[in-house]
Formats: sequence, C-alpha cells, structure tokens
Amino acid sequence: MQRVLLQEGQPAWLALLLLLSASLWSSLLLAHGAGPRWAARLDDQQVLPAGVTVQIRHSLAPQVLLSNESAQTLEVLDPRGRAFLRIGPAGVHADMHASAWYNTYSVAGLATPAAAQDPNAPARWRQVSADPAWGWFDPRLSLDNRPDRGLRPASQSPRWSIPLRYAEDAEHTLHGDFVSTQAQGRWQSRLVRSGRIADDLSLALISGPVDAFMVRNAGPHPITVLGLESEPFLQVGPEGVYANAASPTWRAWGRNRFPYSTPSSAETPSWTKISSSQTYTWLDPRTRPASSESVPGSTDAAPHTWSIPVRIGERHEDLRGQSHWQPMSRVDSPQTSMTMTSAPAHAHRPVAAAKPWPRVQVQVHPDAMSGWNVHVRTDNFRFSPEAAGQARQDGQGHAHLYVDGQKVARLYGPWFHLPHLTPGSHYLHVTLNADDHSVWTADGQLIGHRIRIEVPEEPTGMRGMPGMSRQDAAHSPGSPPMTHMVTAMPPTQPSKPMAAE
Amino acid sequence: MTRKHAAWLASALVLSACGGGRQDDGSISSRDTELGPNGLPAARAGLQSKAAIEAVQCSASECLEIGGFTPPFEEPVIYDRSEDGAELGNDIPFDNPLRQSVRSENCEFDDSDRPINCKPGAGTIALLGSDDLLFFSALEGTESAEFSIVAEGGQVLVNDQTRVLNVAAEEATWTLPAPIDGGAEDGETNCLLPGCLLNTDANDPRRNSGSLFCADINALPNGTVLAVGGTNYYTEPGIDTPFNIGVVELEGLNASRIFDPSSNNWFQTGDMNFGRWYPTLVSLANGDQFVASGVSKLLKPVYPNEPLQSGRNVVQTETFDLGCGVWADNGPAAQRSLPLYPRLHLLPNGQVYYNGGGQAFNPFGQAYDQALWNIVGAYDPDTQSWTDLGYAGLPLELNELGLGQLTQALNPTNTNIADALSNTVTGVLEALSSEPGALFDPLVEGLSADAVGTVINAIAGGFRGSATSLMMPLRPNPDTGEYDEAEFLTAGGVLGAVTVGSPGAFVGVAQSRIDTVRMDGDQMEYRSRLTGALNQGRWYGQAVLLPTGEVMMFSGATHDEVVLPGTAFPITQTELYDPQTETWRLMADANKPRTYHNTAVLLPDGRVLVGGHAPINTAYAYSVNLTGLGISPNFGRDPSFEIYHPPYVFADRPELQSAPSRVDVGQRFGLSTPDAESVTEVVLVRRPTLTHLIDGDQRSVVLPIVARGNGRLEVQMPAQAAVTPPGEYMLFVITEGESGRVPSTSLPVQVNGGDFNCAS
Repeated sequence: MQRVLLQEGQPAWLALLLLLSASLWSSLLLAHGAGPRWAARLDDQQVLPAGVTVQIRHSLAPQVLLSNESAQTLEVLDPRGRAFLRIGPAGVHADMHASAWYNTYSVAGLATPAAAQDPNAPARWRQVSADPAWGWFDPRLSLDNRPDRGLRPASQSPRWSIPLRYAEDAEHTLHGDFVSTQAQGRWQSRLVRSGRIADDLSLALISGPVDAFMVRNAGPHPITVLGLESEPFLQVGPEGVYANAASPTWRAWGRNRFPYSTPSSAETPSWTKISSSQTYTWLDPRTRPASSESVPGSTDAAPHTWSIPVRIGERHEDLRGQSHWQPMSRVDSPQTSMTMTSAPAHAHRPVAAAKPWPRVQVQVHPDAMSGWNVHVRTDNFRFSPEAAGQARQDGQGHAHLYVDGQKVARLYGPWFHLPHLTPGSHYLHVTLNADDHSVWTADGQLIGHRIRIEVPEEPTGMRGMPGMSRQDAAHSPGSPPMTHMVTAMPPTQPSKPMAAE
Repeated sequence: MTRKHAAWLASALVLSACGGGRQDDGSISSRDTELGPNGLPAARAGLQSKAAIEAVQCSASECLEIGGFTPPFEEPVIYDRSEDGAELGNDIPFDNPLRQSVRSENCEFDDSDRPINCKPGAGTIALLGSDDLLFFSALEGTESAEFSIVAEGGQVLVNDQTRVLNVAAEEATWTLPAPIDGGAEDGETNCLLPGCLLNTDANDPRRNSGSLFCADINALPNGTVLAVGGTNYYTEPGIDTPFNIGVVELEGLNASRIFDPSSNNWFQTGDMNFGRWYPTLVSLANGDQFVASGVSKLLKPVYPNEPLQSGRNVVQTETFDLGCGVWADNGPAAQRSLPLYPRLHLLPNGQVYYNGGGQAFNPFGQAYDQALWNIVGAYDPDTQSWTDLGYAGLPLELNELGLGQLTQALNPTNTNIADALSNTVTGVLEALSSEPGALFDPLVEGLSADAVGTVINAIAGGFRGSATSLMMPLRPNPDTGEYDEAEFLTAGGVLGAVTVGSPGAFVGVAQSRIDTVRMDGDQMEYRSRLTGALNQGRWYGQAVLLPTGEVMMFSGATHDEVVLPGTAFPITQTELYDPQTETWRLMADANKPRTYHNTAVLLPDGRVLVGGHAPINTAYAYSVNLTGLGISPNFGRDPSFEIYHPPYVFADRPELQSAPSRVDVGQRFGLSTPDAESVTEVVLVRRPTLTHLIDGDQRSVVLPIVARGNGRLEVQMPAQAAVTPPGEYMLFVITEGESGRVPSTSLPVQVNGGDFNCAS
C-alpha cells in the first residue's frame, strides 16, 4: 500500500491529491471489475482466548473484525510489534501516535500525521469506541502490498499473520492464507460464425460480466436453446418467448424467477410464456470457462471454446464461439485521468519535442454528402487517446483543430468531419499537443500547420436537405478525395518543422 | 450567516410556531395550519421564511439570444434538526488533523468546526398543482465525515429534510411540511392511508434509517405526491451487533409515503414488497403507479468465479393500486434486470418503455446481468410481460448528422462501415461480435485498441449511464389522429463500457441521439438516429423540455462525480436543442456549479427553476474545498435556486386567458386567447416530478386544434388514455414569429381519472 506521509499544516488539498493517488481507487475499481487476485482467508484453527471472535470480511478491501467480550484487554500489533489497538472491557482504544492506526482505519489508509511518523513516538491512547469490538483494514491481508509479490513460486501458498497480545503478556497470532480468485482482466467472447444463423433469424452476442445473446426470430420455426442437461431451456418463435420453468438451467440462470412450485424434473418441459415478442435476450454463462478453470495466471491463458446447442424447428445447431482472456492494465483505470483534472488543465504550455520532431500536414477534402473531411497527416507522431491527461511522452499526443482562430475540436485520430463552413475564405490551423495538453514545439517553434480554404457558394440542395436519400449518403464516403479547392498557405505562425514538406 | 444570527432566527421561529410569531420583519411567518391533522407531531409545520428573487441578469440582446438567469436565492433560515430527532455532527471520538475547516453559510457549526445543522438542497423536486414546489434534500450530514464518508457514512448521514417552495412572486417562500423529514422513525407501527408515519427502525440511534433521499417521486391523479423507496444508512460488516465499523452501506427502503399538499403533511402508505434504492416510478394509463429496479443493498457481493451468485438490482416490478394503497408484485414475466433509476416512460399504447439508460453507479453499481441493460424494451401492464425491442441505438438510421459523427471516429473512405451500419437490426453487432477485428481494427487504429467499444461508442449505442432521457412532444399522426409514435432524446452522460464489464465509463460524452418507437397497437418498432452532439461532453446534465419542443440542458460536470467525486469540472453553461435542426447550441451561463443531485424543472410561466447539488465528499473522504482549482465544490450541498429565463420570456408572448380546469380523455374543449388566429400549437405539459435526472412521467402532448375563431380555439384531447394519464398538467398555447416559437404562460388543467376506490 502506498503510504501517505504529510506534515501537519500542509494544504489539505495536497493531502487529498495524495489520498487520491493511493490505492483506494484501485480497490474501488476492483470492486466492480474482476476482483482481487488473492483473497485473504482465516485458518480454521485459531488459538484464541475465550470470548474473542474473529472474522474476515471482504467489502471494498479485506477487513479484520474482532470482538473481545472477555475480561482482559487484547492488543493488536503492527509488523514491528507495536500495539496500535486495545480491544476489551473498556471498549476500543487506539494509539494516535501509531502509523498503523492511520493505515488501517479505512480502505486505503489515511494520511499519517507527522507525530505518528516516528516509530518510537510515545503512545497516545484514546478511546475510539465504547464497544469491545473493532474492524480494521489491515494491509497484511492484501497480498499485493507485499514486497515478495511476484517472486513467489506459484505452487507455494502465500500466508499472512497478525500478532496479538492478550492480558498484557500472552502472545497469540491470527493467521491464514490467501486463496487465488481471479486475475484482473476480462473474458472477451465472440461467435465463431456469423450471427445470421437462418433466414429471418439473427443472433448477437452482448458483452457483460455474464455475456448475453440477443436473438431475433422473425421466421416460422421457433429456436429452442438447450440447457446444461440438454433440456429445452428457452424458446423464441412466432408465438413469442417461452421459458421452460422445469429446466434446472432456467431456474439457475433465468432472467425471470418463477415461484418454487414448479416440479424439478427436467424431463417434462413446463413452458411458460414470458413475452409476446419475437426478440429476447438471455444470459448465458457458457461463454466463460467453468469456475474451476477460470483462473488465468498469465496473459496467455488458453482460449475457451464453447458451444451452445439450439434447435431451429427440428434441426440441431450449435452456436459456437471462443472466449479470450484479456488482462486489463491499470492504465485503463480512471485514476490517471484524475491526475489530469486536478492540475490546471487549460493552459497549453509549449514544450520542446524530442527528435525526430513530429510533423503535421493538414488536408481538407469536401465530403460528397455534406461538409468537409479534415485529414491530419503526421510523421514521427502517434495519436494516443488512451493516454490523454497523463504525463507527456515523446512522439505522441493529440491535435487541436482551430477554424478561423476558434478551437473546434481535439483530434485523437487523423480524420475529422467539419459539418459546415460558410462560403468564403477560412483558415484551418492544427497544432500537435502532448498527452498533458501542452503544445509540442520544435526548435522553439510551435508544431502545427495552417491552411486557407475557399468554400464556394453552396449548390442548391447540397447541405442538409431532407430530400437527400440514404443511398446517396451511404456511398458518398467512398468518393475519391478531392483537393483542388484547397490552397495551402504559408503559415502565419512559423512552422519550421514542416519546412521539409 | 453567523451562528448567532442563525440562532436568533431559530428562536424567532419557535416564537412563530407558538402562535406569537413576530411577523413585523416580514421574513418569517406562520401558516394558519400549525398542527397537522391526526395528531401528527407538527409543531413546526407551516413555518415560513422568505427571500427576494432578484431580476434576471442579461443584456437586452443576450436575453433574446441566449436567455438569462436570476441571481441565486436560498432559504434564509437554518433549522435545528434536533427537534426532529436527527443528530447531525460527528460522534467519532477523534479529529482528523488534515480536515479543513470548510465553514459555509449553509450550515451551523460547533466549536470544532463540525456542522450541526444545514440547509436542504433540491435533489428531488415536484411542481404541485398549486404551482408550489415540493423538494427534498440529498446526502444530509455528509459534511460531518471526519476521515472518510465510506467509513463513516453509516454514522454521519441523517434523514433528509423536505420543503414546500413557492417562486411565483418576486419573493421566494419556503414552508416546512410536517414532518420535516417525511416522517421517518417518528411513528409506531405500519398501517395504511392516511395518518400513520414511517417507522423503519425506531431503535436507530442516528436517526438515519428512513431517509427520503434516493426515493423516486410521482404525482398521483389527486394532486398528492408519492415517494417510494429511500435510504437506510448503516455500517457493515459488523459482528452480531451494529458496532458501527466497516463500510457505509445503503439499504433501499420498501416504504412508500405520500405528501398531501392540502394538509402540508407526509403520510405513510403501503410498503412495497421489495426494498428499493434508486427505483423509477411511472404512472400507468389509469393512474396506477408502476415501479421498477432499485437495489435493496448497494454494495452487492461479487463472485467473479460464480457470477450468478453475485448481486443484482431488484428485478421484480410492482404496481400500486391507488384506491387500496397497496403494492402488488407483477409476477415472474414482469421481471427485468434494469439499471438504477432506469429511464422509463409511458408509451401512448400504455406500455412502459425502457430507453436503454440509467444511473451508472460506479464503482458500486455492478450487476452480473448488466449486459441486459443494453436492450431497450417495453412492459405491457395488461399481459404483465416485457417485449425486447432491440439493442439501444440500433438499428441506426444514418442521417447526415449521424454519418458526420461516424466520419469523425472512423475512416470515411471505407464504404463497408456505412454498409454495415445501415444493415439490419443486428448489423453492427453481428459484424462486431462475429469478426470484430477483421472489419474494424484497421480503421480504428490510433483511436483505441478496443475496436468493438470504439465503434459502439462512435454510434453511441448501448447502455447510457447518467444521461438525461426525455420523451419529446407527442404528436398525433395527421392521417389517423392516433398517437402512434414516441421519440426519446438521450444526451450526454457516460457511455456503457461495453467490453469491460463495467456499467459506465468515466468521461462525460457529448453524444446525443433520438430513439423512436412506432406503435401499431401492441406491435412496436424501434429505431435510432444520431443528432448533433452537445458542444461539450457532460455528465449529469439535466434536460428540460420547453413548451416549444426545444430542450434546455443545465448543470452537470465533465466527468462522472460518482466514480471519482470532487475531481470533475462543473459545467455551468447551458445548451439548447433545436428539434428543427436536431443540433445543440450554447446558451446562457448559470451562476452556481451544480454537479451531482442537481435539478431543473419547467415552471408554469415557462421559466425553469434550476437548483440542487449535493455531491459526494471529495474522493469519498471528507469535506474539502477545491474550488480554487476550478473543481466541483464538494464540501457540502448547495441550497440555492436560480431561475432561467429562456429567450421567449422576453419576446411578445401569446396570452392564454381561460381554459377548463378539468378535462376528460377524448374530450373536445375550448380555450380563449386573443391570439387565436396566430396560435400554431396547443400543448399540455405534465407537471414535473424529478430526481436524479429521471422523471418517468415527463410528457408534453400536442393537442390538435379542431376549430378556431373569435378569440377561441377548440382542441381535441387524445382518446388514448396513456397519452395523458390522469393528473395535473399545464396548458400552453404557442405562436411562431420572428423570435421563433413563443409560449404563453400556462393555465392549470387536470386530466380526470384515477380510481381511488378500493375494489378488493
């Protein structure tokens, strides 16, 4: 866990920004993502004084819950053996000069005041609860915090322990191990064959924690999805959608839960109409490996091949597909964007680009349907939308597009559509910007390109006329780019890096 | 306001409540009804305070071009919450040395800078038939967190206050209803209408287990307001007894309450079968109330290896019988997995339409079945079952605006894309899900490695989180007179993170789309098209449909303030959607930043009341003032309001002189206006009942003009009951001139209906 050390008197917003960068957010993000890689577990056998109860709960982070209803006080010790909690008949007291008190108070720990940064500071006990119980977020329950993370042989089960002191001299230890849950990442599934599986019958896969399939069956034959025991599970046909209430699969996965009175035999289908529609979306966990094998330990987990049996009319089919494990990197998490927003974000500070210098050239092509397509061609430069707002890296970033001096867009790719330009003369100016929004310079000059374009009077019926047919629209992007109306002008701001053009 | 001043006011209020109130200063007075009926503990009921509403601030040309706002105004009094049992402040027996002293005038503070009493903000608001507004607050007590609202929320949060507000005159008036917090925990037992009070947990020492916050509200046909659900705050985990350690947990209440404006009292009515936090209410064609979604326990368990054992939102739906005051489970086929505060609207055919959106409650709002939230559908109250209509945003009609947006994201020289997108219903999905890489990878290179997500995002399809969802004006088919089409505007919010298993992303988007449901009886066809995008991405923008059919967008922020509270930049600039061009343009700047729990509602005179803002503590920690960095003020709620004056307020407005106060479905009725010859449209607008961007009853209905002359118009009420469910409306007439479409001020009209007899 990242420690946050602060002097009292420092501005609180600084503390906050440090707090934000602490691991709280990765914990929170994990809460809806793939879950922690390892979960702490309490050994079954704990030698504890009578009246002491311990549990571990997992919410936003693992937490030890301990109540002590005995007549003696129990102390919880930090890794150096210093007590930071006293739990007993007098309620709970905490040592305000113990850094462990701050580190365990909430999910990601709290900023440690200066007075508690000295491990030898004299204890300052204060009552924090009248009840003889406390719950603390002990970093020792999180394997990710340990220095040996990643070094341990996979076969060796990692363990944790938390020393306790009871009645002033009896040593006890809470102990346990970690169980592997799931690596951070996601399964991405796809159907192997096209979604149109019969005339008037289409199928789409919809991603989620559990994938779903949307079937639309406008044909005459119902499609019957079979369940885990090959029993009919769901049927979508001309009469609507029916669920087999007797199907154990339906009872386990069904979108709609029926009352318990249904017999549990899978042999006699008990069809219940659940919709008059010919479209239905069902959840199907079969696109994921069964739980016992769903613990990819590395990025190259084998793809999971699956098939879901269906009947179309009387014809048997299998919906076949593959799922691939895709590890998620921490870079995807929003905490990086936050860094951006906590800084004054709107100043475009010039910064020197590294060699080879990025270069940019702008072209404008009239769109055959409406408006203009701006093409930003770059050399030695990569559009990096995924890194926007992060610290700048050489050779990447985004572009800013200005029309007649007004910023109209931030570009994360080479193409941009300008829906409308009034007839007459316009200046388009593109600058290359770093991920942190500063503007790249080369040899002291802003890297950019400025051109003038002449927009002719619009021919009648060209722009935005409702009479225009969709067919025209759909094929218009394929027209070859035309540049004859574009006149490149010497940039008014020097753009030396473009001189080679 | 200094503490001393507040104390003085409080003592004045007590005097006032006892009947000897000092009326001479004009700022505080007492209503006639000091005690509610039924022996309710209404000692302070009817207390009032007033504040001036200053003139709108815009130059003549600005007013006509972009409109303007009044300066903010707020309740001048801070009431002592201990009188209703709420214990504000923080009994956590240690101080956080880093906690800033964020004193504001919105709260009273104790000696250690902990807030004791605070003013409520309008996180939920309803326009009553009397033109008063009922509102209640959000996240009261959040200022008291010492270290972390996650750790301490179960202790510091309290039941939220309610108010009745009037802004019709040049002075705003706030009136205390009874009980001030909607009756949580003051009563004894559960019973039905009326006269009993909510009692969710009488032993709760913190008085925070029955908050109205996170309920949804709807107006009933008789003008009362129904509030369902709400919040019980507690801490978990705990061992056996509640030791107040662990993490704040929010339990959805199954309580439902009714506010009766005629007595100024809250009552309890029948409990729902399921506890619901963030549900959505919709009035059915007969006035009965339909409720869906919500969650019983916010922090649901997640088992990555056993997803079906993980948590999800409440899938059961229920219907409230107006007459009997009881809720009935609609049965198994009526279940549906929906996001929190699902965007639900009543279609003209009587079915309840789910518009593919809801509250993206990251990082907590996960549900194992959230893939289903991408599917738009409709619930039929007659068959008590759902119809899946399609994947939200598909099929996409490639209009000019939509194609324009696509070409921004994709290489416009590849015709395959346009072909794929204009394909049949699952065209895009089919291509993507079968061969995502082959078709799109080369095209999106440089944009993102996530081909599927990028394309879906480019077309703004699928689940949309924390976006506004409006039903555009319902107009009859000119050939048949039937209301057979409904259009829905979805704008801003966060896109569903389709491929990463998360209900919503983080950055507010600018995408805007219109979804259309065409109806032939119970047969429905769903299509979608992109409109022009917002001028800037916006999370939690609150859209208001004006009587003219234009849409104003207010408030919100650049990023999702639930994912990372206190890190977004608030957006005060407003935008207007022009339905003729289907584009958005920038309008006036509001005065106050309003991010999470902001509200905006149409007033009877066509202006818009903008209020709210009750943010989560910065980084789920404690109150910090970071406004110096330009960041959303997350150190407490904003009790202020401001009134937006659209440009038409300054134009030459038509006048609606008289209309019947009550009308029936299918009835023809007359109205008088000196502008009868020039009126282009007559519009019936349902009075808003709004929270968390959702008003399931929001509707505006264009009534055909069947006769005209001599200062009178005759118009036709729809024959389909579901077009105008019974209840209270505002009637506007519209003219069209040089300054565009201009509405009159409205007259109140009640649509008859609603069965208040208990049959069973």
